[in-house]
Amino acid sequence: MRALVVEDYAPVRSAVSEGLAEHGFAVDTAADGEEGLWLAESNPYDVVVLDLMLPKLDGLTVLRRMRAKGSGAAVLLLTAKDAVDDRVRGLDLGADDYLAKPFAFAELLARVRALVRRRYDTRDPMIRIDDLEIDTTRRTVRRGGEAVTLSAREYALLEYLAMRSGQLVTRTDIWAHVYDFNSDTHSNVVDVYIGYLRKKLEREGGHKLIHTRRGQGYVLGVE
Amino acid sequence: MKGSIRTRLLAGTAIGVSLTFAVSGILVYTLTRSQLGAQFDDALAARAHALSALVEQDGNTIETDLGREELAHELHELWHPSGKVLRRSSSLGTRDLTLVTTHGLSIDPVTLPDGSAGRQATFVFQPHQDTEEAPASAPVTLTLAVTRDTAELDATIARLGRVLVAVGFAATLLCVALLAGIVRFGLAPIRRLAAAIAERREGNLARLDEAGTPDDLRPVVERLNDLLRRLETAFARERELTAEVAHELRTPMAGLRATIELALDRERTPERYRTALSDCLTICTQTERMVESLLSLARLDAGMIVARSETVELDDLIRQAIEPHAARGVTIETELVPVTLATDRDQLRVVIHNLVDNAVSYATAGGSIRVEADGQVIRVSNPCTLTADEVAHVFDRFWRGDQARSAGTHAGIGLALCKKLVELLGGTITAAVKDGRFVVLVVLPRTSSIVVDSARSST
Repeated sequence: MRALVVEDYAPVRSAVSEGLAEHGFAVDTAADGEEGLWLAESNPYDVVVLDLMLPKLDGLTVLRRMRAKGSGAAVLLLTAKDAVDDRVRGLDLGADDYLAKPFAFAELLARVRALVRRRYDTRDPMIRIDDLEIDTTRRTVRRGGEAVTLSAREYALLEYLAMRSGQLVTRTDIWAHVYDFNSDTHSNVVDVYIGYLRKKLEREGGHKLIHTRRGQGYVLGVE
Repeated sequence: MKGSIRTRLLAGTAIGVSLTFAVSGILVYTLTRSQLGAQFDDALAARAHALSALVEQDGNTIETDLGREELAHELHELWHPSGKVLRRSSSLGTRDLTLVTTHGLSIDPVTLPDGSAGRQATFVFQPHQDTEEAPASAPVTLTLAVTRDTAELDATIARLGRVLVAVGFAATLLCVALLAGIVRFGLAPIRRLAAAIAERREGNLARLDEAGTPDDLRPVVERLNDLLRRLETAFARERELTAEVAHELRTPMAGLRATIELALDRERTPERYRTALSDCLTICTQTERMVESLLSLARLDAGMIVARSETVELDDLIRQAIEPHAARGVTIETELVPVTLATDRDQLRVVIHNLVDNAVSYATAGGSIRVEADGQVIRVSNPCTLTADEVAHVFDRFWRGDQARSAGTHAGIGLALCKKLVELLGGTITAAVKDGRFVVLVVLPRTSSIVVDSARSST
């Protein structure tokens, strides 16, 4: 899942982005409203963590312009102010949730995950496809009751495919949702990781779960 | 002045009304009594004249018809100049009326023979002579006394007095009762105003109704509304400041918490823990300075800080402020004329530190930061991207230039504090943008006795 953190206060920005990255998100950051808006408009983020008080362009304006441009990213507002007004206006302008500073990182993470689930219409944090079980909270995977050990990148890829199970997922989608700007990527890295995943999920007598649509992309599910 | 307006109005008008009634009662009483007395006397005099007409002189004989004119409430007696009684009312018997010596007619109060009070008309006259039958003889001067009992008159006057007193009391009571109602009615707007004021709280500073207020109270209501307006502004400012302070405190708290939680989230390398702790220390230091500034501002606002006067070497103070930045590799150009001022060292130090820190935080990359001091003038400048509109706000509390925010420092109160402190020291502080440079000019008062130290300047 790909997240954008727009926050001018460096300690919060770096801690949140690092924390999210450690929990499997591909994270980009912006230190002011203009940069944040530019990033949000040019990338299909799953979640945007948006501070309200930002230099150059305040959070509410960023939010309004994002929505006006049709951005479907889930937005979690961060605010250090008491004002109920700001939160109400934020929610009315199309924010999905808000969190008051200072916050517990665990709560931020839980809310971000909930927003991701909502975005992909999966209410259950446990995704089940055939005999494959993905616990999106613990970030563990089991196939036929047996634990499958995945690297962070492999897990991120699987989680994204699972969120959109049964749908055609293009390479571009994977690029956009699993990799951030810092990722060291080359053209066939997606194919390589898909190969790793296939191998790790393979089970004697089990169904084939990852299907390739030549020239288009991949589908996770039972054919 | 204590007591209620109502009581005072009521007491005042009650005294006024009863005095008016008393005076007019006494006036009416006196006038009526003298009027009635005069009427009584007139009647008595007329009677004396009428009775005297019934006395005739025929030669040396005096004839009277007075016997036919006896009235129950009246006595009369007729004397010859010799003192001989010529005639007296039959009811007098052998008793005499008082013989008053007079000429013509006189009316006097007398005590009647039966001891009661009366009035007497004494008429000295020459009786009529019938000159047709006989030639006139030498006229005789007779004295006729007519008395009437004044009991009825006195009773009437006494009754009048009683009526006046009774009516006076009743009227006074009625008036006071009416006045009480009128005063109550008249003071109703004050009561309403008091009730309206009692409803005003921190959360309800709605203006009082001016249109429905009587003219007399309008100035009061207008002043009160003025006060309410100012209170509302003050409360709003207070709330705004509190919200800003909350924001300023929560932001570093959020930074601390996020940094610590991230570090504790999993097993880290010692290097990583060191970085996290060092980040926390930076946040703490910034917060500490912010809290100090906030406290100083609050103390300045409350007038709790008083400027001392001591000898301060301005150029040294500036060098001390520059040192930590120079140590971190920031180049600051200086042009310092050695000078000694009489001012408050601690407060001036805070001003200079804030100005220098501010210049370092705001300075756009590649530009030079300059600090100049000459006499009582301090000039700090740095390259910036601020506009003239933005510069107008730099001394506002919690205002931040975008540059400062992106640099991660919260300088929103630094300049506000500088302004307050410079004012405390009796100087002025101004900010402007000149040729792409942000310039802050501090001018300390001339009275701070400047000594340009040539000995130090040579070192």
